[in-house]
Parts: sequence; C-alpha cells; structure tokens
Amino acid sequence: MKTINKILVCVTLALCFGAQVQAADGGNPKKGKHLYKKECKACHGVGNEGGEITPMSKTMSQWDRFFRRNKHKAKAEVFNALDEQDLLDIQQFLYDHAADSDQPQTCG
Amino acid sequence: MKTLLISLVSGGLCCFSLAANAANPHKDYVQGPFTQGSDVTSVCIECHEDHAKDVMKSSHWTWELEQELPGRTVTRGKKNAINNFCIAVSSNEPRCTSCHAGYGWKDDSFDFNDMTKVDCLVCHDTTGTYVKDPAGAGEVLAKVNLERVAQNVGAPVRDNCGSCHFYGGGGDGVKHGDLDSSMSYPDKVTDVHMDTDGNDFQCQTCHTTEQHQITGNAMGVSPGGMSDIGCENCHEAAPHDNKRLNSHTSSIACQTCHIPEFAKNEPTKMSWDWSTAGQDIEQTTDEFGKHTYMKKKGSFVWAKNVKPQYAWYNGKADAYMAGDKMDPKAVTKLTYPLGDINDKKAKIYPFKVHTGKQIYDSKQNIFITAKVFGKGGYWKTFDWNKAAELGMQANQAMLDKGIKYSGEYGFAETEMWWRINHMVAPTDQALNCNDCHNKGTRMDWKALGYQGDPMKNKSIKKHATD
Repeated sequence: MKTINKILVCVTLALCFGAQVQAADGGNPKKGKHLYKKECKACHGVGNEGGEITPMSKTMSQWDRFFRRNKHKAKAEVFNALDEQDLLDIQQFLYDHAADSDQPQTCG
Repeated sequence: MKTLLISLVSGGLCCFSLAANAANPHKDYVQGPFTQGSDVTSVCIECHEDHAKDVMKSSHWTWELEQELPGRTVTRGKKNAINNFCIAVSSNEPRCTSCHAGYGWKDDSFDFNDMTKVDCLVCHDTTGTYVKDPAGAGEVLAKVNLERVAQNVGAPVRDNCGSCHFYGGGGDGVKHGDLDSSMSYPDKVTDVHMDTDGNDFQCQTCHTTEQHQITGNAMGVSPGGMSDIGCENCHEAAPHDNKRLNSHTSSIACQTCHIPEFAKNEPTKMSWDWSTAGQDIEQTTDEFGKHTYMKKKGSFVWAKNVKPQYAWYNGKADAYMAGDKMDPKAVTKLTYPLGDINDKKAKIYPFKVHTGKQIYDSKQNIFITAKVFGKGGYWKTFDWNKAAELGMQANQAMLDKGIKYSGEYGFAETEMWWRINHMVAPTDQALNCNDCHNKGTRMDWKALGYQGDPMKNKSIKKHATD
C-alpha cells in the first residue's frame, strides 16, 4: 500500500472511532443510574446469576472498553435490547463512578 | 483499494453527520467557552429576555410571596421563614442559596434585578451533569462543562426539580418525606403517577406552569396557599364506583387514603434537637446509616415507611413569623394547617410533623435566627451567643422590627407540619375501611373533634358539610 493510502486509512479510522475513544461523554448519568439499577442489577445484584457488579468493579477505561469492544459478549442480547442512548447513559454512570473516578460508588 | 478507501471515507463522514443530526437547536447558537453560569445566561437572554423576566417574578427567584395569614398580610418565603431544620437563610446564604434559581446570592447585597444572575440551566439541563456548588451561593461547580449543558437545554424532567426539592434540608429526603431521590425514577409502588414504566408524569404535569409561574405551594414557606393544586384537577370529585367511598370525599382528602405511608424508599428526618449540639461525644448513626448525633447539629431521628399524622385542613395555614412572641414552655407550631370539624371547607389530610428543639431568646421570648454557616458561625465556633448575635444582626426581618439579641438564650420545642401529596400508592394499597373504623387505629377520632368512630355511632357529631 502506498504511504498516502496508509495515511488516508489512518485518518479515516481516526474519524470513525475518534468520538468513541473518549467514549463516556454525552450520556446522562442520572438516567444511567436508574437504567443500571433497572436493567443491570436484575442479574448483577448480590447473589444473582450474573454475580454482583458495581460501578467500582472496573476502572473508567475498563468500562469504556467494555462498552466499545466487549458489548456484554457473555449475553449479547441484553445489550441489543437497549437503545444507543440508554447504553450511553449507563456507560456514563458507570464511568463517572468507576473505581478510579472522583466519586467511586459501590452500587446504584 | 479504491473501494476500501471510499467506504472508509464515507463511513467517517457518516460518523460526523450522525453527531450533527442529533442537534438541539441551541447547539449552533450557543458557543462557549463559559467560565461561569451568568455567562451562559447572558447568551440565553439574547433570545429569552421575556422568560428571564418571568422567572424574576416567580418565588423560585424572589423566595417570597405576599400572602394572607389569619389576621395579617405578610411577605413570606424561604427568604424570611423560620423552620426547625437549619432555622433560617439569613446570614447563612452561601449554603442555603445553593438552591436558589440564581447565581451569587451570598449576602444581603444580592441584586434581584440583575437578569444575568438567573440560573436557566438548573431547570433546563438535560445532560444530568449540571451541579451547583453546595456552599457556593448558587454558583456552578467548576467541573461542569457549561457549553455542553447550554447546548443541550430542554424541558425539565424530575431530575431537574429534584436537584433541589428532593434534597431540601441538606440531604436526601430530609425535609418533605414524600419527595426524595427515589422520585427521580419511581416505580409504581412508589408513585402511581410518576411510575417510569407507567404514567411517567413529570413534575409539571400536575404543577402546571405558565410564563414560568409554577403552581403549587409548600405549606412551610407559603402557608397562604394561593396556588394549591389538587387531585381534582384531573380526577372527579366523586371518582369511586362505590357510593360509600364517594360519601367520604367531602370530609376526607384523597391523599389520606391513597398515601398510606411516605418515605417509602429513603428515610426522612422526623426530629432535630439542636440543644444537644456542641458536645465532644461519639457521632452516632442509625439502622439506615443516617447520623443520629453530630457535634455541629445535635440529635436527629430518622424514619422510613412513616404513617402520616392526620388533621383538618381547609387549604390555608398559619405560621410563625420572625419576631413573633412564643411561649418557651409550650410547643410552638412554626407552620400548621387551619380547619376543624366545624369547617365545611376542611378535610382530614395527611401530614409529616417534623419536631424540633431550637434556640430562642430567653429574655424576649422570640426564636433566634442563628448564624450557623461560615465565618463566626456556630459550625465553626460552637458558640451560641456569637452565632445568635451575628445571625440576628444580619436578619433584615429582625432589624425591621428593631429586635436585637438580648444575650440570653435557651432551647424550645417546635413543630412543622408538612403536607403529604406525593408517593400516591396503587389502588390495592390504599387504606381500607378497617384501617380507620372499627378496630383501626389510623385516626385519632377524639383529636379530630369526634366523640368516637363516626361509623360505629351514627348519632355523634359529624363534619359540617353542605
């Protein structure tokens, strides 16, 4: 591949994914907290089938990667059932209260 | 290769246009950066000057309204009311005014005519990221991205109203009892009207608003009750299929049966005793994790799933005003409902009664508005004399009446009555006949003016109705 093509590919990829790299931005964390409790806690509360998960279970970048790459691979259908804005709101809440955030939270 | 490039480039452009399409009309117009809230307001009023003027007429801005109390016309509101929580706003502004719909009310010198000080964003933020400094006289926290908030303004949701009304008294659910953080996204059991999976009412669905004048009056600050709203705005006066139930509606408020308990999810403060403050003893907490003793504030009692107290209420209330004489041996009702069994307009209504023990001037027999927050305040000095002197000096209502602190203080008991209107339960959880009648203990019939259960004994005195 010519150098110019390589540059173009890089620039384009950056355009595509640039916004998503600074992922946890644009979500409403208050709505996210509600949705997290409603949608996630059903399986991820104490003693539930998915095992307890709280915002503090991951760091900010781990949460971002989870929403960008993993997308709840273990049970993809639960992510598919939520619309984009809902997922962004949940991601924002988890990111804002992750283990290495200013305000870590154990639970919603 | 060409095809790959084209698809990649168009993919990239797509990402861009998606972001642009999600635009709020304010996105193009409002351009930052902004360093403080009033910078944003200056941009808002380029188009919305009339709206700002309307806000400035509302009690969200003035914190006072002219109203009728028995035998007198008063100007009353948060600005000059005395309560049995942190007592009064005056001299404690930077803390209390963190809930003012404005920026910078740090002391008496605040200019209520400065339109740029109106806080548009606290009600119109849709990002969920707008936070006022809890002790910054209503200014915004530095971490807030004001440009993003301003570009995404919209109609208020429960979170907006709740940022103040759910946290009055300095914490979740402290004051009202029927308003707390669980009302941001309540389920049906918490509130049938605001249930997020059901009716999903916003606050303004009932608190109808025209020209930024929001209807509804809390009894503590607005005992005059000029713009009360009620169930009857939507429901009929005789809404039940059962005739016997409908026969109750002229004497019993809807809320009485349909809000059998409040503080359903979060505990609420039921009592605050300032007289124990200042001791270097253990700071204790209760079963809910809430403080029961703090050196700064004294002793607290919290409760959850609280059964209301019931009293006659005719839509009007009376209140203690700054400078009124009180009897230190009696319990002073700082706000309380008016009406009795002989009052045709009155109905039996549910209340949260918050009890207190608070500082008063023991020479003059008036309640003291002490300075608790900031320089020289009680929370720094633990010196009630100094706090009383500074607080009374800074209180315009006291100065207008020529009242100064005498130098002697004591603590006296108070009650504040709060109407219970929210957390309406599903029908199957409403009160039943036997909750009040027969062996039911909900109603203290004698205290309400009956000789006994009026269902058991038809010959006894009844509520005066038409």
